[in-house]
Amino acid sequence: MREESIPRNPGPVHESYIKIQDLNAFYGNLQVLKNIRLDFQEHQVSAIMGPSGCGKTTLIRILNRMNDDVPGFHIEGNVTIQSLDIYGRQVDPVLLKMRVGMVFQSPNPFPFSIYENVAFGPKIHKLFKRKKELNRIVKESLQRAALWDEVKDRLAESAMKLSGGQQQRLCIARALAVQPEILLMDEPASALDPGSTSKIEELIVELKQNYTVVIVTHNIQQAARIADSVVFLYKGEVVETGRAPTFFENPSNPMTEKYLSGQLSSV
Amino acid sequence: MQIESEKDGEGPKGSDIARKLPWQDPRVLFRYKLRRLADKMVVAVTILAVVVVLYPLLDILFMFFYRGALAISIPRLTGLTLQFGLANAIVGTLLLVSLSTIIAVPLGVLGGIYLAEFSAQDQMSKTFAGTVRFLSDVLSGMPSILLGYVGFLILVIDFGWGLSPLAGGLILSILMLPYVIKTTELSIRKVPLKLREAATALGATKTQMVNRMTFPLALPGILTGIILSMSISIGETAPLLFTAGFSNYYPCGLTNCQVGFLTYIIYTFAKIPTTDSLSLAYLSAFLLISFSLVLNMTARIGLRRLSKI
Ligand SMILES: Nc1ncnc2c1ncn2[C@@H]1O[C@H](COP(=O)(O)OP(=O)(O)OP(=O)(O)O)[C@@H](O)[C@H]1O
Ligand SMILES: [Mg+2]
Repeated sequence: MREESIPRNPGPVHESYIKIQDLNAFYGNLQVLKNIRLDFQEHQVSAIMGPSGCGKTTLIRILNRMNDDVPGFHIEGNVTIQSLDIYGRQVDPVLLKMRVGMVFQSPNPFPFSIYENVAFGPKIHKLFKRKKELNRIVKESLQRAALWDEVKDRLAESAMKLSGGQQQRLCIARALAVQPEILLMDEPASALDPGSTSKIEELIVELKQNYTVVIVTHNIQQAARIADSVVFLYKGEVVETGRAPTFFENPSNPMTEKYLSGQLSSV
Repeated sequence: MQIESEKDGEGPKGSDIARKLPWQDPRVLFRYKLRRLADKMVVAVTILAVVVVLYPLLDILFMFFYRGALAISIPRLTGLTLQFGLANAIVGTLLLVSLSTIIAVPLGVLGGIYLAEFSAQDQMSKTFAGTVRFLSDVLSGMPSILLGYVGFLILVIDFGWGLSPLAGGLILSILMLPYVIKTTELSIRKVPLKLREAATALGATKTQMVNRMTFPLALPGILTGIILSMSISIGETAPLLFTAGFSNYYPCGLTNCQVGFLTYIIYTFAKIPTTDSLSLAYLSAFLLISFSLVLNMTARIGLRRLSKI
């Protein structure tokens, strides 16, 4: 069950953008990730798939050190972004999160106005000099998250009044407003209707030009539509990785095949 | 257990189809009726308990409101104690409560923020926070007259403040402190983890998270705690006897100057059986209960209006 490394882009061979080496992760004594070795390439969409509870959320939370504050959580191994060891001593976990943005599995807008939600990041990092610039950041972020048209007349209203799908797109806009270079998305479309889902998918594909996207999804068609490479995780281990079309058309591992055909439902 | 025995033993019965469904089974229905009866009895008992508690409370409130309202008059509200008026005591009570609030709120709120947000960083701060919580709980359970006595020994005598607004205010603030700390900590802890994670993931430092998110969201709860602790401090008598003394005149300074307050009037004048004295005591009670009702209602309405989580 050794994974093959993800085929690289044609062109000069370079070190992988995000590199995970021999990663083990534990909540207390419970080991949830085992010997993970993965590479994610710059300006690509990498999808992580696998049955519920297999460790997808844990894996992407490691990439921006979101799990640092979880009591009992610890990792072994090595995670680098552009050769920088993100768990190294010189790395500030707060700064890392500016660089690696995150959209969570369930929408978590602040109970403030729509505007204030998007403005939160730019405000804490002082990314603007004038109110006008902030307005522009908010507008652009909402546009990119395909939410602007729905909320442009009610920016001062509470975000809690939005529907679940709108809230999720607001969270995406909020993450974009900080202009990270990597965006981690944990099932961003699980609460969305088909229309918003396809908007989000378009957005993700477009984001590729400026961002590197790592996305967790349960939706095989979605992964096939937007991902450049796919990782299949099972019980905390990488079973198979591959380029998107091949991965879905002829998976090399029988386990992957089972998962893709819906016969592998839970851990 | 049943599931197991069925698996091991008889297996599925042939009469499965003929067997009644639970909702058709008279025994199940009978047991349901018993449960429904139990439900009704529990409701009846609780209502009875509420009435038993509420009746005397309403009775007391009514008596004080009625007699207090009858005692309202301009001279009683504007005169000094010597002229059977409450003006100096009203001013004194407000002064004492203001002083204690000014001291207790910053300390208590900062302490609560520390306990809720900054105390889980390492083992030492955890131990420290645990100790603070414990002491604060002990303090809130301490008879207030003991605090008054300590205040008398330290503030009035050792510090040489004399019986004074400052000594009284400081002792009241110590009484308020545990409430302010506790409500602040609890209100801040109530901010859900997923909102904290959202702020952290945007690159907020702990302080930024507190300033821009947790504190504003917890504010209604914190204010409620402050207001309720103020109404506790307004009603105190015993510690003030030791620290504030009493004066028939308006307050004249922060130290070495005794100060009048409303609860003292009740304590003293309710024992003197003349119409004037009793009226003064009832009016004081009326004012105190009104203050505390207004404070409580402000807290409730404010919390409902402002609360976002
Ligand atoms: N905070 C935690 N403390 C202890 N165990 C945890 C914690 N979070 C997750 N786990 C455990 O780690 C394992 C992996 O969880 P994770 O959330 O990464 O799964 P997932 O692949 O994202 O699942 P899903 O598709 O349902 O979101 C599970 O067994 C889960 O019970
Ligand atoms: Mg998950």
